[in-house]
Amino acid sequence: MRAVRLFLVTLRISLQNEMAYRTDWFARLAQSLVGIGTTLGAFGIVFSHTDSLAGWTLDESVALLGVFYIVTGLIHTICAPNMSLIMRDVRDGTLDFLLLKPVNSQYYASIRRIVLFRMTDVALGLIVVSVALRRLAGGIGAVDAILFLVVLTCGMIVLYSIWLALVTTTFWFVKIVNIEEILWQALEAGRYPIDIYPRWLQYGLSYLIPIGLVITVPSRGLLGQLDLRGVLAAVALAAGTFAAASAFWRLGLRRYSGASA
Amino acid sequence: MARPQPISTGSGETQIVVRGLRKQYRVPRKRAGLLASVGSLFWRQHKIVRAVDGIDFTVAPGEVVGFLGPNGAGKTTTLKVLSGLLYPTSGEVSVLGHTPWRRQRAFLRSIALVMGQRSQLQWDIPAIDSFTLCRTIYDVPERQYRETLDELVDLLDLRDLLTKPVRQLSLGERMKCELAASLLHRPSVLFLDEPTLGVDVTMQGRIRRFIAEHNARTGATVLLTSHYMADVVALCDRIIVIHHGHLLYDGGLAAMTAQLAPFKTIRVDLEPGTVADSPDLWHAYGDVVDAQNGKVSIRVPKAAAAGIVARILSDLPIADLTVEDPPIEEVIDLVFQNGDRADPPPGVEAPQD
Repeated sequence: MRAVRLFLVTLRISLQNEMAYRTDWFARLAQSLVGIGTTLGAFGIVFSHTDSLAGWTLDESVALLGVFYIVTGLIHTICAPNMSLIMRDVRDGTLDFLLLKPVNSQYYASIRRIVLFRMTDVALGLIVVSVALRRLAGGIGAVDAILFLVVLTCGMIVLYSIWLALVTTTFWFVKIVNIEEILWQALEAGRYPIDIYPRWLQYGLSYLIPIGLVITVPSRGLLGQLDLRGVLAAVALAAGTFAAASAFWRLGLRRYSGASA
Repeated sequence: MARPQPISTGSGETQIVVRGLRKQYRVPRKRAGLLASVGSLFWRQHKIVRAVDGIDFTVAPGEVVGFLGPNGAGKTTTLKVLSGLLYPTSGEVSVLGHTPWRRQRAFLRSIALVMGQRSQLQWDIPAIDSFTLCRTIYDVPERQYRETLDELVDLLDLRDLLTKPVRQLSLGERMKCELAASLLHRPSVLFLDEPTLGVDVTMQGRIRRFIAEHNARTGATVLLTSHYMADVVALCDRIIVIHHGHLLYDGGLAAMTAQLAPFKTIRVDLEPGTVADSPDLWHAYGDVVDAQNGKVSIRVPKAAAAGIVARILSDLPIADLTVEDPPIEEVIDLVFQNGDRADPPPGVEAPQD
């Protein structure tokens, strides 16, 4: 209960913080619209020569693009801001304040800043997805919708856990700004189905930084191409990476407090 | 100020127990030059810095204890261990019956740490909103929160500050808000690390008065570090002097002067017209602190003071003579110098300003 209240208070405070930077919103919105436009343009060119790109039709690819915006929107809303905040805190020594609070440090560190206006990307993504699904005749069944949400949530948890683990390495190596850059580049690759990439990159995007799991797999769920076994595997993977990241976070805190020095 | 009634903690006489506390840091040894920098990417030399090197003390409920020491003495490290932010290398520490670095919720709820050079308030929003966040984090009941907030607003004169974005506040105003934010959950132990750092003199006084009042009202135990002697003199009945990680003194302020300053200062006004303020002449009596314009002050061993005064009075034409205990700053200075000479533990970094 307190966790929920804490979330709501940070949400309110984050909104107040955002009001100071309102004009950003329009620039961001324009950027997202241009991004969607150019990707759709690229699809238009590619699919004027072929009906299927590594097994994905035009409408399926557009649905995936929508999922890409939903996922990146969520990341920009809650994951990325908090992860940068942790790195800043470690660098400036202000993490002390977080550790002095009688709350779960990982939870609080992960919800301190919520950039709500990035939810516009999620909204854009939803529009793109629903247009694609309508064109795919019949829309989406309830079961597929639920599977989609489950797999999407799992994908987000996996991505969050990996991100947290990478950020936790700042307890050992303070300067690690480029880590975020790698994540963003990998994420950008998820704009297209990972099946279109060469084998080695597919492996990288499936196992190393599983953008495939976060974007391509949920999109399959959306398109009714996912079986229960795949979903269970996603749930297991999410639970595993989350547990591992939490353990690593606690280890990092021990390091930060000089337990191992 | 009347000694407050100790708050009941269930832990008897002492609230804080520190035994044989040691804290070492392993820091990379940095060398100058490009080649060395590249080399250190692959091969690092480390050295051990002993920030705290075996200190013991206990604190009773409701005490206000001042930590004194130059930069790098180990004051902040000690406070960080006591508040649970650092694991000690060795030693036992108990605060309110808890082991701090386990950071149990019950422990964290009953302490607060205020750091003068760092802020926990959010920059772009008014302090009152950061307070709301604290209230939620510490799960303070609405009524208790109102009462505490009203009290703090009165005592710290915060009324006009609470609704301004924190970035618009002066350093002193911000510090008052920081203090308030840290006290909303009514901690029974308060750690203050340089609370008046960089704050102007008037505001320093205001913050000092507040800390004293807060201690008197709530009986909270206060441990504070400061560079400013005035903070310590105004607030603390008891002083712990740390130097190079060692405890040099633990006791009352007045007794410190007596114990640590084994000398007195003799100030002399010479008869007008006498030319006897040459330092050379006075070396025969004691260490010359100052000698000009017919005024001389010398430092003499305490035990010999009476004899030297008699000699001066018979030797020279004196208009006025006083014998004083040296100012507390001088005593501290002397303590730190002696500490340097007596015991520079190997591998310890010299204090730097």
